[in-house]
Amino acid sequence: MVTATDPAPTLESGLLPLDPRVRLLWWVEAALAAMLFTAVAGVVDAFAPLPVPRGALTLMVAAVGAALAGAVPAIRYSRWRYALREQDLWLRRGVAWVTISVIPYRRLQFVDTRQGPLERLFGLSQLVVHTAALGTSGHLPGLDTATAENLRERLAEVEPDVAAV
Amino acid sequence: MSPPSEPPSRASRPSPDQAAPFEASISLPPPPPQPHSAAEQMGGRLHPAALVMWPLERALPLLALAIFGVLSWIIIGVFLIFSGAASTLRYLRFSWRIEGGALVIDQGVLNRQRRVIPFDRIQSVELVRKLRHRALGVVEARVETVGGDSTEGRLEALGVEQARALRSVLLRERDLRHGVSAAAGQPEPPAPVLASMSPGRLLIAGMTGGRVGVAAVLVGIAEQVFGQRLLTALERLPGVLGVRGIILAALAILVVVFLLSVVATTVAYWDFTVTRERDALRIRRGLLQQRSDTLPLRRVQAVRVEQNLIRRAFGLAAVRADVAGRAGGNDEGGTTVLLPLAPWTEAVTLAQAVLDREGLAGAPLAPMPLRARRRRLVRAVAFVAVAAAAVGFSLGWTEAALAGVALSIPAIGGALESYRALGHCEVDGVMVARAGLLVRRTTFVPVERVQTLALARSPFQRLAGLATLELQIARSLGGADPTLIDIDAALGGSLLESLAQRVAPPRRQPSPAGSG
Repeated sequence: MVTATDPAPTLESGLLPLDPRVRLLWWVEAALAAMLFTAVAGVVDAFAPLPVPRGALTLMVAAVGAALAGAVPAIRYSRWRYALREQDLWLRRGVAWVTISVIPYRRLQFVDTRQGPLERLFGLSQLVVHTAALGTSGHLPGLDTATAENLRERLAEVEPDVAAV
Repeated sequence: MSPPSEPPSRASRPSPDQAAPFEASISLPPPPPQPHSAAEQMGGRLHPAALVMWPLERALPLLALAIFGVLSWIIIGVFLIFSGAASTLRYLRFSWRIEGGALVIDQGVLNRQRRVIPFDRIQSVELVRKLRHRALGVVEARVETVGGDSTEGRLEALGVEQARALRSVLLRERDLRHGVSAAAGQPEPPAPVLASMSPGRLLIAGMTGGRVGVAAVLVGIAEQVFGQRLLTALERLPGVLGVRGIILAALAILVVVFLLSVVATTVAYWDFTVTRERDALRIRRGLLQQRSDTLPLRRVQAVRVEQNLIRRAFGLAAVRADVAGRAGGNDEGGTTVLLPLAPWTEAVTLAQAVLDREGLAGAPLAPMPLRARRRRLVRAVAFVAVAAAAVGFSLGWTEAALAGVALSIPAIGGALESYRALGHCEVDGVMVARAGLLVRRTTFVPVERVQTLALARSPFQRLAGLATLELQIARSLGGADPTLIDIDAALGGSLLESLAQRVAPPRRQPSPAGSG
């Protein structure tokens, strides 16, 4: 049984990146969103009387959307790191605002894995850990499904110490 | 008109046959060593006053209609007779007792329900005296269990002495089951009073309190309701009233707001007393509706001492607690008021007593780096520049210069003051964080109460080498996590690491599986 106190040779050390497939997933999602916005802009262009040449709005939205959809997932992926340390889960995320979270294993109440339809296509899962802290569950996207399941099992075995709740 | 039958909860066990033994199906811990014969004898019906209280409760809204001539008195009479009959049935079917290590409540005319609340599930016992209870000389007892959002055990009318005895029995038995070292058998020492409010202090609390903000809300509502007409009326006012009239009207509004605030504070916090009883705080308060709440100390996650601008000028402060789970009916924005108003040192002394720590009163707070002040000044100047530019484009550049000068004074003053509010330190295992311009908030959170930690950096904070350290606690909705704003990034990082090691230290001895 894995406990928080074990040196736990199976726990990886060092900062791990997410599965590279998640970057592809984010690109697909961002591209879909950009296309949606472009389509809306196209409708507005076609039917609303704008003081700019026809098609300018659509072009602009498409350009900005393409730039964001290309850059943001890449930055987000390169920023994401996680580490399963001896006593806690360590997460770093964020594009403009960068947040490092530390979630002690012994504060865990329960651990979920989640998988949306697109994620299933890519063979990815999210790991969501819940503590007694309000609305601050740790969220680890872009794990290989088998890795996520394995992690959930191991984290669920840690003896909790949820005091006074 | 049938009495409301509550849906069965986890603790309930409906039983068609009242005589059926039910202890066998409930796994209970072994009974406490010493017999609590007094406890086992408690029980019975509600106070007969319920027979009067229930029909009146139901009839009151109708009574108002009758007075205004909408309903005839005959209908009221018939209603009262039926309601009285229903109440009598309900009264006769309602009984409670203490049996087999649990509070047992039987009720229901058509749908009979037996609810069994084992002592060790009890979280708090609250005695409530609403106006109707006081008129009839009775008390309502509410027994809350862990989890669930409704009151699990409700005895709507008990004699005052009986209710007090019931509460002390339930709480003592609960503590026994939880292995709390209760001084069983010994007479309880008088509970020490930690804090209280004199009428004079209530007056000051009302005059300086946040309830003055109610006025702003009222104006906002009026604007929503009357819209453009209100604005037009306001524009015409100078012509109608004259300058002196406007000043008088403003003064009158101010006086009314102050009076409302004083009355509201007095009604809510009359006779406010906090006493400590072993491992809980007992908070008593209220003028029309007397409340007595029990707050187990282990549920207190953090204590905050808050000062708005006016109170800070007079060295006064209010004390609140962040509480895990339901805040026991004493909610105000997800926190429990521990003391509506007190001088600063008294407020911090209460925080110390509640957290059971030393040295919080004189704790020297370390300031944040001067880069935090520069950030605030830059922000203030940017704000003034944007505002002045807006004025310049719409009105003219002379006005823009005037607006810039006029705005820069409060903006820069606010920036400096907001920096001065920042501070942090650790005393006796308690993290202290202070921040806030309009309401200066000093938060005390014991390290072992921290659940998770986060170090966040905005783009501007990264430029300045600063960060915000969040100490995330098990609080209720509406509160806020203790936060060290604009701490030096390197210091924040090392605090993040050292605190993470300490918030949930590994147990020294491996505990047997299945415990906890």
